[in-house]
Formats: sequence, C-alpha cells, structure tokens
Amino acid sequence: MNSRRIVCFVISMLMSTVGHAQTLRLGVAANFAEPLKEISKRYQQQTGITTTLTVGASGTLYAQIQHGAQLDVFLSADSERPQALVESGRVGSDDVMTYAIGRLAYLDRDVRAPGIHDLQTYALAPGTRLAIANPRLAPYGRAAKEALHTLTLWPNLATRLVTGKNVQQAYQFYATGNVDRALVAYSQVYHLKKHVHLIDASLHQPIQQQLAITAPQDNRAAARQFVAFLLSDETQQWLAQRGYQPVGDEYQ
Amino acid sequence: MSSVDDWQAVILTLQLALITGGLLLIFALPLAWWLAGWRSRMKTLVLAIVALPLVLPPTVLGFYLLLAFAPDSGIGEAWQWLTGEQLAFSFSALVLGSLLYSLPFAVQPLYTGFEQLDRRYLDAAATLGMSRIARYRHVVFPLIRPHLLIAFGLTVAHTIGEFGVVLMIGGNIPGETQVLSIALYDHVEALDYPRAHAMALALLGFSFVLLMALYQLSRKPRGAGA
Repeated sequence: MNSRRIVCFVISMLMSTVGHAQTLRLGVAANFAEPLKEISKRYQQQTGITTTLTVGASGTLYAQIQHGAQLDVFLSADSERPQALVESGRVGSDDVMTYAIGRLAYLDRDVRAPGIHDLQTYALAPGTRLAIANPRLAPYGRAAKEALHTLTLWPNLATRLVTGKNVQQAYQFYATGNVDRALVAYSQVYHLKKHVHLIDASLHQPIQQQLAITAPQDNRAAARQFVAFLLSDETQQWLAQRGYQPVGDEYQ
Repeated sequence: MSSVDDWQAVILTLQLALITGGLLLIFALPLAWWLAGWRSRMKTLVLAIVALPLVLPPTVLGFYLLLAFAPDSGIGEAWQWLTGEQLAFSFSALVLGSLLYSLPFAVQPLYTGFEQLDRRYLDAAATLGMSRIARYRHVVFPLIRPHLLIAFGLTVAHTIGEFGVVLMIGGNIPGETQVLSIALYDHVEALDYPRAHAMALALLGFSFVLLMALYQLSRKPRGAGA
C-alpha cells in the first residue's frame, strides 16, 4: 500500500512538472457530462484554461478518488458520494457544494401532452413496464420512487418496474421502444415537445447534485475558480434553460 | 436490496448458466461437426461469424439486442405474438442473449475436437459393421468427451461472469433478470463494499471449484494411452 502511494506520488509530481500549462481534470457523473462539456468550452473561451473530462458512474469515480485518482473536481450525480468523501476525511466539508438541482420528468408514448393523471390511470390498469433509474444507485431513481410513494402508486408499480443502472439507461429503455413509460431527468427530455410532463418538485426530495473539490494543493485555486464559474448566475441561468433548477432557488 | 435478493441472484445465475450451457451444447455439437467436415471456401466465413460475439464489447452487443428485442422490431414482435409476453426484461431474453454471447466458447473447443478426430477410426468401425448411432456412441463420443466438457465448462463460466449484455437487456428485476454480476455491481456502486466482497469471493470460489472439476474430468484416464 505504501509503495503504491509513493509511486502515485512520484507520477503525480512528474505530471505536475511536465504539464504545468493550466489543465483541470474533472470527473463527472454520466448525467451531467453533456452540460459540463459545454460549460468547459465556455470556460476555456473566457480564461484559456483547458479541462479534461472523465465520465463515469458516481460510485466508480468515488472509488477511484479514494484510491488515488488525480481529479481536481468530482461532479457527482448525488450528494451521498461527495458527503462520503467528507466523512472519510478525503476533502473538507467546505469543499462540497450543490452545483445543480435536477427535475424529474414523466414520459408517456401514448399521450401527446401527458399529465400526472395519465401516470395514475396507467398504474391502476395492466400495461407494459415503467422504466426508472435504480433507486438505490441513482438520485433520479430515488426521486422517482419517492414521487410514486407520494402519489401512493408505489404498491401498484413496484413489481412492474425495470430499473436502469442510471437515468440514461432508463431513458434508453424508452427510446429503444422497450417501455412506453418512464420517469427520467427533465434535462434529458426538455427539448422534446410531446409526451413529456414535468413532475411537480414537491412530490419528492430535491435532487441535489453535489461536487467535491479534490484537487491537490497546487491546483486548488484553479479548481475553485472553475467551480465559481459553474455556480455563477450566468451558468446557472444557462442550466435553467436545459432542464435544471438553478442552485439558490430553493432558498428564495 | 435484501440478502434474499442476493440468494435469488445466485440461484438465477446458476439457472441461466446451466440452461445456456446445455442449450449451447445442443446447438454447437451439430454445428461444429458440420463445420469440421465441411470442405468449402465459405467455411472461413462461417467460422468468422461464429467468432464475432467475441469482438463486440458486451454492452454494445447488449444494446443491439435491446433494439432487436423491442416490441416493434422483428424478433421482439414475433416473440410477443408467440408467447403473449414481452421479450426484453425477461429471463428468456437473458437466455437468448447468453446463447449468442457464449456461442464461440461452445463451438471453438468442439470444432477443434472434431478437427483432430481421426476419421479413419470411423471408417474402420463402419467397415466392421457398426451402425451409425453406435459409431457416434462408442467411437466419436469417447474421443470428443474432453472437448465436450471444456465447451460446457467455458460456456457456464462465461455466462456466470456475464455482465454487459444482461445489464442492457435485463432491467434489473429481482428473481427474473437480476443475476449475480448485476447485484454485485449494485453493491459496489452503492458503496456497500462488505456485501460486494462477500459476493465476489463466493463467485470466484464457486467458479474455481466448477472449473477445476471440469478440467479434472476432461483429463484422459490414466493408463488409457494412445
């Protein structure tokens, strides 16, 4: 273990001397990869600082960070994994913050402009399966489960679910025609004009996507600067147009 | 997810592996026999097609199966018409996917076995008046037995470890499509490492014993000599 740490340390020292031109390494959950690519591009245009993106499952990225992966910012799909980094002492509690709040959407292939009553009608009659993200792994899956509980539809639907490992896969089940209904992230489907219903945010706990600043000492300032850009009004307003609820809204 | 689900996943995995192993032998035996005896330029084409499932990353293979199993595509529609049930997210879908995914592992050892089989034994047996069925039973089968066991062992082991294909077409339904590898992945992603370690250890231990038994069985008996 110790020798591995030393090797990691030596490699990171070499990397930091070779590539001293500012580059930020971002680890991002799959559901935020697309917006982050766009945000990184704008950031580079403004500051000249380039970024590299590692896209993965939040749990995988968490495990990699715990075992020495060199990432400067970890953008998780949820708040659990960044909080787990705080608990393990890997980052301080002020290194963790919410960068986006997700909204849940209901997709219904049979209805052009579906409402929540369409979900209720479907739940009470036999039909094809409903796709959601895995409630145990994915924040949108947990929100979907909570919403179904609030609507008292969970008992009807628990045995008729298919769960994707993440919300992308839940959407994939719908997009490939294998299910006719799904609860997914609004950011995935906000551009679709039909078959989408934005779920009332009061039906579930807020879907807080949190980040953790995991940068080594020499890159911390740059990492903080990027995070400030991500949390700026400008970026948050842009995210609002892409199906997210801006951070800070919940306090207003 | 409860530990009942974990056990269910273990049982489901064994069912899937044994059914896949058994069915694949039934399909692969005649296919490999025919391929070994076939003299044609097209043979390399068929051999290449059989090996193709090795090339595609399992999740990619699974994605195309998901497209193929959709109710509005040919296979999915035919299945729904025949059985009245949806193909994707069912145990049958996993069996179909596993058959394709493990096909090369069944065909390759059998094909090699049939290739190495000295057909003069068969000719001699025929000249001595042995019936066709008796020739298969008393000449071909004993000679091919080690290859048969290896083909079975490899397909079973390969199916037990199958992840990508099942992830794409399964839908993670406990007792139906939630196999061991999926449950294990869930534990890892949920940071439930103790349960993940326990399952991984059980998976490795079981597969190790199974493979050792099969390789032991496939050894030529002592003193049998050539």
